[in-house]
Amino acid sequence: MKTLKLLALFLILTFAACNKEKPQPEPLPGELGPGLFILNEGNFNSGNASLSYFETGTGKLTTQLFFKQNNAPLGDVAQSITLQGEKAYIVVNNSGLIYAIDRKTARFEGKLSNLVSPRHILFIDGQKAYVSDLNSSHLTVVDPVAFAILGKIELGRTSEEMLKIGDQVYVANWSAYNQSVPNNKILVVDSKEDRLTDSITVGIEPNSMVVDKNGSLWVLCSGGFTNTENPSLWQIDPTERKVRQRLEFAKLNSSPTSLEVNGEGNRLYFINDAVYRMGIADPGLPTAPFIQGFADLPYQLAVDPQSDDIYLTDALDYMRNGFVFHFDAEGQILDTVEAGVIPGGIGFNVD
Amino acid sequence: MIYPEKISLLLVVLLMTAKLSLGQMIFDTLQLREMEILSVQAEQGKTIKTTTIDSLAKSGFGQLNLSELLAANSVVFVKSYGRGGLATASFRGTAASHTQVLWNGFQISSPMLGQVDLSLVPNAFFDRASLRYGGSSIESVPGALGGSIELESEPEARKPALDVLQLFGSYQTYITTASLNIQSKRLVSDTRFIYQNSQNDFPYYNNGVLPSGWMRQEKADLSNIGFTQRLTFLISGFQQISLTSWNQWNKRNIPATMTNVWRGGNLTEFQDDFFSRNVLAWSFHRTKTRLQVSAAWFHEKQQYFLETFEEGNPVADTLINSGNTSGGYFSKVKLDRQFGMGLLFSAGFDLRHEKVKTTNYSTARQRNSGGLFVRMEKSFRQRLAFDILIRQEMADGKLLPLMPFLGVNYQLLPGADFNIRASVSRNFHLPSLNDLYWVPGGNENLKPERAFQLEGGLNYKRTFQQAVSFGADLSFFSSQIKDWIQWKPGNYQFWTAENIAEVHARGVEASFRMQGKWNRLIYTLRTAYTFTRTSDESDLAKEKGFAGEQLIYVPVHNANGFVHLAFNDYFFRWQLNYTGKRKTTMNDSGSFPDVLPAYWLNDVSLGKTWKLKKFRIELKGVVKNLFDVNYQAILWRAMPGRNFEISLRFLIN
Repeated sequence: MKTLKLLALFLILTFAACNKEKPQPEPLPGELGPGLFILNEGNFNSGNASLSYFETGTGKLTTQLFFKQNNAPLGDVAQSITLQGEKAYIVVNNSGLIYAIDRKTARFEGKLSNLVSPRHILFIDGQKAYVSDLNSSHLTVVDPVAFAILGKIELGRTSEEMLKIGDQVYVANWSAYNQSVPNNKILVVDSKEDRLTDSITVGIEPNSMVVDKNGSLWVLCSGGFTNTENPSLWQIDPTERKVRQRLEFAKLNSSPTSLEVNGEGNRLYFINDAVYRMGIADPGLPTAPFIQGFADLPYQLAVDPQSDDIYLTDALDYMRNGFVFHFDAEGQILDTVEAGVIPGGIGFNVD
Repeated sequence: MIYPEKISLLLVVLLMTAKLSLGQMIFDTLQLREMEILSVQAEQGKTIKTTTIDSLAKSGFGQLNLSELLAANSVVFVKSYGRGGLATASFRGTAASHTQVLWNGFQISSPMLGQVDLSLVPNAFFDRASLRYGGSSIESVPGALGGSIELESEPEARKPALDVLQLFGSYQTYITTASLNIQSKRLVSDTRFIYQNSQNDFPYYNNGVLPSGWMRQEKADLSNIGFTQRLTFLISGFQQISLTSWNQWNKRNIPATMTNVWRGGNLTEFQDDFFSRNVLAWSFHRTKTRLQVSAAWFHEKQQYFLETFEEGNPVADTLINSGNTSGGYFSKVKLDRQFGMGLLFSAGFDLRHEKVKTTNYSTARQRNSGGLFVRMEKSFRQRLAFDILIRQEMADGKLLPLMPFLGVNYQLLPGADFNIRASVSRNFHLPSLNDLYWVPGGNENLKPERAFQLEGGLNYKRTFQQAVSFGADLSFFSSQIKDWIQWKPGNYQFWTAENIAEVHARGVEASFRMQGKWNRLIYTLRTAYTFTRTSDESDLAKEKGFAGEQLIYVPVHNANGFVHLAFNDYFFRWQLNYTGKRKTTMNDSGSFPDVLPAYWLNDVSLGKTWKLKKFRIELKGVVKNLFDVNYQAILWRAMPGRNFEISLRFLIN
């Protein structure tokens, strides 16, 4: 009998211990004030991407916003965030999907899935968008409202950042993955016909692009994963598709990234260990850093188009929560915000 | 007629406990029957903590793999990437690479990763698993900073001649195991076979995507086939020679994580392995002397394949097809000699040649290493015992610092089996060949990881009137590991291996067991608990403010329990396992998904045995995850809910 009693006790204890309830997050009351979405990439194959929100007016920070509002994770490697209309579209690279959320509440609105390795979404108009892909050789044409895949545009190369000038879309061929030709082109796609029409040769690994106030296309190339060539910054006339100038970085093993432009379109910013700033008419690359010493691992840069405030993300050690440093237009530190694992993309959520 | 289950019940004293009787080791002559008894005694040692998963605990797991056996029967933390997926073990808050798994005396870890996938070690292929904690592993193997798991095959005189089991389980799981034991006066042949096939398509609630919902695990099917053959030849009454060969072919699809189920491109990801492990051993036993000489040849081939392919595309979007071949030659000599006055002397040396050929290194790589050790154990008046061991290792022509172990045990009360023990040791772990040579990021300048370990404990054992016995053990441990190797992000480009962290792992282990007989009911009850704190105490961690924080995927609390009841021909077994909260990132939010919730798992089995002269038939039903607990061992890796197995076993003596 003793044994049976013991058994009964075990059963009771076990039942008592069986807490099947997953911790349910409390959704936020009310709407998000003006501020910025901070996309935390998370670690590859770990599914620990997250979304933070920083209200610039109040300084209020919300971490795990997506999880709190939707009771589900953002996914595996949150690559980029793009705001369009009332929604924000988050491209989750290794989950092969794009989540659309309400920009005021961060609540789930819909998803585009069955993508191979999506990186960025570019809106052509309210009904059509392009999705670039790290592994696939085509752009995916999607309907961002009906959440449907419409078709694809064959590029013969992988695609990364995209930028639209007029009806033309400029697509950076950043990764050499799965292609036999060098990754040194900006591909030109006609968005009316959804067709590749031309290409412009730049340096190896074009990682970011901006347009300045004069309509020039600036392309930053890191020179290759294995330091194939010196990194370079290119100024291109997009209409003529001609290179106006090529500025070469002195160090072969440097790896500049994250080219940004201010609201007025007359200043460029990029990361090359530190943050650098230059005028679009400057004769050469800047030699002195504009901001340095804050981040352990400067990762991404964003410039507020209204205030020219600068946000620099710090991926730290890729394992612990990183930081976002907020500077004014002249590089004076204003705030330090603790984000999630590998903070990268930033989306300005202002009216 | 004596059956293994009953023999086991007679030997339940050995269950999961620190063993005693240093200096009482008696070397047997080579009667096979007595060798079995020797195997019981050889695991004893007063100053160290060793636990043995014996045949009773193991009998419920014959058709499963080592990861499941350890998860249910030990407080070693098993990190499993899902049913049938990669599983590794770590002791006392250390890393999986700090656990060495030995099979018949030789390390079976891949020289590339320096760790073993326990899901590919069928329990059918060994008879006994001994767990050596911390410094107590130094005699058998260097570098087991956490501990070692030593798997041994023992030809048993009483082993059934034929033992065939067929299992049917949920998710189209079929497992067949068979063993054939043939003995003549001088020759014993032991053949074992396993075939496993599972669709592994269990349903689970996927809250890793939106909209959430019930789904089935896809592309997670696996199949393994393997056999071992052991031939033992008795040269004389004092000598024997044996050849053991283990060959296995494994195939498994790797399923998408829960967050990635909707990725496009018809992802195919699988891993195929083949390995052949062969040991030739000669041993000489006299009453007070034992000499063992053995040599091994291991060969392993692995293919990892990943492809995404879109309909209408001429070529794959993603294609990884990497092949690795690794293996090596190993040899070992060990002498044990018992002198009078409670003095036991052991010495040995081993030589290792490991090599790796892979598309991921710039060239084929190899490592030559070797070591020798001397050990003396001395007891005084049966109450006080000292244990001193020194190991010297050499790798690629360079001497490592000495690895000493010093242990002491004192019997607290005369006549009562109540002991206090303590030990101190130093150990070194060489980087894996991937740490050194992986392209990109391997670092040929890595130093070995070095550990300083302290342990103390109390153990008590008592038997009442032959009907009830119980035992308890309490251990404290502290390991400081310097130059802990981590892969660190490099300057924008790739990760590199570096000696960064200084990890301090410390904790408490407690275990209790009881067994006895009440009328016709035979019962065994066992429970164990571990408390582990593991943190990085390096200067960098202090500077960045994360010193003292628990490392990821190391549960602070871990516990298990085991109940076995036998009544006439019926038996009932209940296994429960508790895994405490684990951090998934180095952040201290304290909430999911930064922290995975704790979970309890319960498995129960009920069986009946029929005996007919030389035949025995056993029918068993198992309910796994009885309470249908929804849990994740690793973030966003789906795990099955309640599932069932039924097996029929046929034995001929």
